[in-house]
Amino acid sequence: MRPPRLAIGIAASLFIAVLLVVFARPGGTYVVAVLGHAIHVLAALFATLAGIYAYRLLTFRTPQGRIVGLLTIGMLLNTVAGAILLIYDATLRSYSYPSFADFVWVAAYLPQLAALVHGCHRIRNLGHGARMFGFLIAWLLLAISVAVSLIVPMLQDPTVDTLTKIFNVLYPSLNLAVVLLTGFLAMVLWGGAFTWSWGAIFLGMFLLASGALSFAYLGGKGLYLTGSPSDIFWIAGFVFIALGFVHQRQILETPKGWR
Amino acid sequence: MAQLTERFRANDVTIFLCPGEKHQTALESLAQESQRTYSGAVIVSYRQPANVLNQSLARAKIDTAKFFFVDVMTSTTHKLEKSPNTMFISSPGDLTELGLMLSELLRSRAFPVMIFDNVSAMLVYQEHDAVVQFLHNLITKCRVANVRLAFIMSQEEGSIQLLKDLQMFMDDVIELSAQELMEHTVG
Repeated sequence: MRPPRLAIGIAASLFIAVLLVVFARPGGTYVVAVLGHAIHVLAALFATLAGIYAYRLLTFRTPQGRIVGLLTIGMLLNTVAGAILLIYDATLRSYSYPSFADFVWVAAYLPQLAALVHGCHRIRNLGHGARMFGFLIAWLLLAISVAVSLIVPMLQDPTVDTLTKIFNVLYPSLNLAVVLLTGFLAMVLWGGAFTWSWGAIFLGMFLLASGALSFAYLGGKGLYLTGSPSDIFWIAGFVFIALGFVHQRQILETPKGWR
Repeated sequence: MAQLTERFRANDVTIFLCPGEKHQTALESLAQESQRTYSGAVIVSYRQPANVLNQSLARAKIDTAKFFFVDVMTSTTHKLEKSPNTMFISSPGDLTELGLMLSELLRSRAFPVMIFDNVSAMLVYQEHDAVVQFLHNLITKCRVANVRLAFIMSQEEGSIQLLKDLQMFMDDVIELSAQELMEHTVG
């Protein structure tokens, strides 16, 4: 089932825009920062609108409705956080870390984790043992390498204050949790009607986590600037999540002729 | 068997998973409960023709006048004949016709319960995705119309994928063991 042309068009436009900003870097650091955040906000907004589009066929009374609804709230908070950072970049030019936007970003994980925990709790894991085992091993290796290369060095850094340390640990930890839970759902539902939609949502969450981990790693070394190649992960992440929501809507739409 | 009756009453949309040979017992239990607690039910049958179902329910001392049958199977072997409490679908794979018929029944608000037996058998006549799409729409329509919906499903290999997809729209999935169904029959 092919996504609608509008969704493909928006996805392609966002990819082209972020590639232009990252590699052509038009107008210097300030313009790149503002444009980079603007594209981030648009991509998160795309995922939010796609989530609303999918949710309109569902109800909060079903697990599927609660999962899509809460994930969409998470995407909306991502959009708000990105918009706050865009305003900071456009007006203040420099701001402290963690900023108010970071508090909103962390808050965005709460509905997402609630959705995924609920999904994993409600769903029965019927089969696919080898695939699930492989995924859990891969996740465990990722978690260990993130803990060793990112979390422990950040915790041991004496030059960083406590609040910054908390956020530095929260971002990778929350991302790892989201990847684990989304991956579990995608593995369980693999092979059915929702293979592609949950596969795309999982890929999207994995790319968002890759963006956040790259940000944490580069930020820790003082190398991160908005408009870095790692920003492509975020845009791609939101785009895949949006396409996953759109596909879910397509699967569930009322069949032609039955109204 | 309290599990079946209690959870049937507690949830709007439920899957009852049962061993293949115990389908009839599960259906009779749900029909009895529909007769006792509600004013009747629509039974959509993908497993047996309506006249056979009618006779077997009557044998189980169920008042079949309180039930309406949507027969999907008869058309595959016999010429369709008119019946006051039965509607026939011209082909088991024609989900549009079935959908329109069920929509009409739901609009009439004549029945507070719909029992769908056997949902796994739909996969013989239609693609997996089309079945999921159809059932999701049926669930939505039943929720809007405040009709309690019970799916009877086989605990067999071929049904696992369908169960995975459908459980995301259910209020509950109840696994009925042969022992429980046996106790219910005896009781």
